[in-house]
Amino acid sequence: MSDELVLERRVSAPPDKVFTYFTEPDKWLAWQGTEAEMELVAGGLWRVNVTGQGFASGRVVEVVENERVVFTWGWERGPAVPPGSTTVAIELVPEAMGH
Amino acid sequence: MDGLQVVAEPRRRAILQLVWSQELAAGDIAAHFDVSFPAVSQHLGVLRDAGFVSVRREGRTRLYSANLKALGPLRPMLEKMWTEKLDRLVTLIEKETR
Repeated sequence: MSDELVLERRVSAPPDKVFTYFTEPDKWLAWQGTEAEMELVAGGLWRVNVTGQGFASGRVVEVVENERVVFTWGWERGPAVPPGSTTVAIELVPEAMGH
Repeated sequence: MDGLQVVAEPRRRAILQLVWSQELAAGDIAAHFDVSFPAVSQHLGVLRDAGFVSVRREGRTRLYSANLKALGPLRPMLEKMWTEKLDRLVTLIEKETR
């Protein structure tokens, strides 16, 4: 799929703080899911039990401290959007004023 | 019905899985399930309308197969899901950072 979907948000918090919500299982679970496993190295397993929707999983592609997290993503159950069929790239870009 | 509703139904997911890598007639698909042929036929109709399966006619038989480019109909679903989750995340981070 070359289809790209871009979502942008402004967050009033420093990048290192925001970064933890994508990389620490406990923090990730605060915004989605009930169980999370994250092996934060290229090729590592990434797996989350998304509340009410079953497991989504994938492989970690890239991690750059406080800047970037990339992993493949998909639903384990059912053929529609299976693991590996989509790639999620999270990029943190600091703005002036330290936010 | 949006893409998410279409694949939310377990039997439709099972049908999609069945025709993911092979072309099958409705009767062959129905034989895999313990529900009536009309019920399977109805699911096939929903999958076809949503663009998840393609139909090819061979004589009197209609052959069904998964449309592997069908992430298209799921795009709005993925967009909705990530949008909701990101919004929740931003609210949460700002609340905890304050």
